[in-house]
Amino acid sequence: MTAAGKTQPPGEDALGADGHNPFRAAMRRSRAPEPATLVIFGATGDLARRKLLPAVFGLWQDGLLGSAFNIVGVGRQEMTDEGFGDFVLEALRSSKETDAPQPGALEKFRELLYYEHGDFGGDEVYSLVQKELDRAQDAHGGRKNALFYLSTPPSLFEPISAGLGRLGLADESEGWRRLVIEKPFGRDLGSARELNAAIHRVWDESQVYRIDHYLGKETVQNLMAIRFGNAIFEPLWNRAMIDHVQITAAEDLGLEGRAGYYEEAGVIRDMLQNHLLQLFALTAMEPPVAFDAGAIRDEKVKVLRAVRPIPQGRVAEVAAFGQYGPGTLYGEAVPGYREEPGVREGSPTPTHVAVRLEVDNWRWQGVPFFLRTGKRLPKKVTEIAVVFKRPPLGMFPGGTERNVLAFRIQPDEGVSLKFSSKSPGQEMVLREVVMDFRYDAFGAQLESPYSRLLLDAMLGDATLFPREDEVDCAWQLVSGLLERAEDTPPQEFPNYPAGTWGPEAADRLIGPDRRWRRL
Amino acid sequence: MTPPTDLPILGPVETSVREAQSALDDLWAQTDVETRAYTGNIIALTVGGHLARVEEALAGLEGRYAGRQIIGVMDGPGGEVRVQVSLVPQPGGLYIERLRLSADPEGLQGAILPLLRPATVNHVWWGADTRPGGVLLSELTEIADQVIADSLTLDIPPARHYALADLGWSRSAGWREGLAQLFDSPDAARQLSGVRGLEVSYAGNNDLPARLFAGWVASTLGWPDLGGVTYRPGDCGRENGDLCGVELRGEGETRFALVAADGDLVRTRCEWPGMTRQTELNVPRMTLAGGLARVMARPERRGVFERAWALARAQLDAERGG
Repeated sequence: MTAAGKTQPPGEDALGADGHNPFRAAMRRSRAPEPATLVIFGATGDLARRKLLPAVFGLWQDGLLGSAFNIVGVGRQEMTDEGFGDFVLEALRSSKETDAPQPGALEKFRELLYYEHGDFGGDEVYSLVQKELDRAQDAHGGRKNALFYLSTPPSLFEPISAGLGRLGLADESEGWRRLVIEKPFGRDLGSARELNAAIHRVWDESQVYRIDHYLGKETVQNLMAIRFGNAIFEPLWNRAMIDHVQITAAEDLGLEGRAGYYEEAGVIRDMLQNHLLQLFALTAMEPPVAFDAGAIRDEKVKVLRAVRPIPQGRVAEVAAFGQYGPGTLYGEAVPGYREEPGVREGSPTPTHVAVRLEVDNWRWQGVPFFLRTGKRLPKKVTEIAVVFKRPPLGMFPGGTERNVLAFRIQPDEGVSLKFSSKSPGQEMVLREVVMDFRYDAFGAQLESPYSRLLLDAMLGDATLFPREDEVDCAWQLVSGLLERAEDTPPQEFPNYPAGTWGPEAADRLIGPDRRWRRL
Repeated sequence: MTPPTDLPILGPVETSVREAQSALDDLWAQTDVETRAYTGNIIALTVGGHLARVEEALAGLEGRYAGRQIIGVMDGPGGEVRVQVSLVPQPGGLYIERLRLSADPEGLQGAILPLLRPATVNHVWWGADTRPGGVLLSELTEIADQVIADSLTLDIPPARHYALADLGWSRSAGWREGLAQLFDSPDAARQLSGVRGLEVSYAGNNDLPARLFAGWVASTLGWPDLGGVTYRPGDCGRENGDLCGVELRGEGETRFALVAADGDLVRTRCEWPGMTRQTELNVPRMTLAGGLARVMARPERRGVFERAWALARAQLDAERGG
């Protein structure tokens, strides 16, 4: 029998009639981006040069971006396509994040690059972008799909979004159109709501992708894999078994020339409102009904809403602020925050915060979540530690210890479980041991979080992108902390030496029968 | 594919089946490495003539697929099993364990089973061109989660208790992805209902990967057999068995073609009434290690390969019968 006499599976319409690709259904990648143009505003900026362009190149070289893909860089700086090609290739050669290029791959990648420049407040630059989309359609066919990536200072989010809207570039009648924006999403609750409102005047929420690169990390996704891909953890994940949870994001770096940004942001905006609250939400949320954007983000919002609010009046009870003074790190003397270049004299900006979150829902009632993050701490480490209750009865000599399930997000990515075991010998003496799984046992290099998030945005999968209401809830939670830190800054700053684990107030916060993990 | 590492191979150390674990532990003690990748076992069964190629492929296989490699050389001397153990370095300071066993098949059977790292995934790779059989393979397929073989030549059928994988199938993975990319555009996908025929050209004289590829296309499009497929030897500079081109043809002017060009480049051309679309894409050539890694990662659903295999097998049987 020849294929001309082929049969359709019963009950199905003609193959591909709905535009669905049957070859995709069972592929390694069951989803692949349709032909599209990536439009990068701020394409010659630092983030694009160091992170974004290497991530795009890696995806392209791995064949993950489809056969019809190109990049339009947009900036205020005048530059030709040729000049932009030179810039991109130089960026790829100098970035540590660039995958080793295959022979000839860089020159081939260069053929995908175009550049337009202009004033982001006018219309001309957006009409040039429109022409680039037309050109891409003429060259490759397909629809005029476009991902607009705003790799710019936040002050340009609104003008660019509005400009794209004025020229009809948010309209999806000729292809999908998506907008990617980088944190910070506002600088407080009010400005975040203004930004969201401004964006929503042009874009539907389903078109908006807010990047929090922590969510692109393998080990953050592994938190969900371990929680919901195994039967043994979820039954323990509640107030009956867990004493408390610690989430730590420690940085050893100081300002690294970013005083202007950090003086405005401080640790609450830089780390707590976004990265730490995202880690908290993934740890504390209920199991989603499906692994998709709607279900996961619904659960994250629910648990963020369940956190007891922290108005200014409660801040002293549930939070401790810190700022580093001079100290030593890795055996070398380092200056205090106020001695860093570009920092105001007597600056009140906090560089460390520890906070206790209380979750008012059935699962977590009475189980505190302690979050801490800071700069110039002894080492760079991010970890989520679930600390279990002590055994109800001490049958053996010595005290009883708590089991700890720890997810190391970076470095040494992995999962460990601490438990008590009998020490060899005649006596029944227990000591704590650690069962350790290291992610590097897989022997594979971890991908850049940007490449994962960029690919997801191209595919239209928003699972790993915070939704408007998540961002709003997170700002609500930190508003009291921000007001307190700015209205009545602590007088005792600096209150921890660089190279230590933060102020004593953070140790008091965690309470008498607990201690921060020694990391 | 594993990038190179400066670390030396530790071993090989001559030992016995009983002492093999202890010999490995001694080698581990020399490494300063705490992490051992207990990710699985790969048991490669081969003969002396293919040993170098098998070892080269396994050297490029990352530890995430199998932390222990057991190579059984089946044409070794009878009597006592000769055992050599070594640690093969990986980037990042990790090592994978390699045990090379030489004996006759019966000897190997008694030696391999106790040396498997327990409670992990077992991959069995038939790395020889003789038709497998006997108690060794039947014992190993009992404990296998996956059997990797040249399945059309050796006539190893899919089975319920293990997944069958084929390196020829792996070789055409880039072409499957390339073809799928043509239809990621919904307007192209809508033309599929009119597609009636397929031509596949292949490099060298091995058409088996092309047959599996055709089986995949046919089963995806709902064709009951491969009667609408033609195979053609090509000359595109790719390795024996790799594909050189693919063309799907429909009514009138409708056709979708991928043609190998220089290097890894493939040129695509899609035509249907009112539309001509040309692009270029990368279809990388795959090394043996890359092919092994791919099948061990089991990227596709088992049924996809088995449906393609069944159509290819049926066509081969019909040709032999005719």
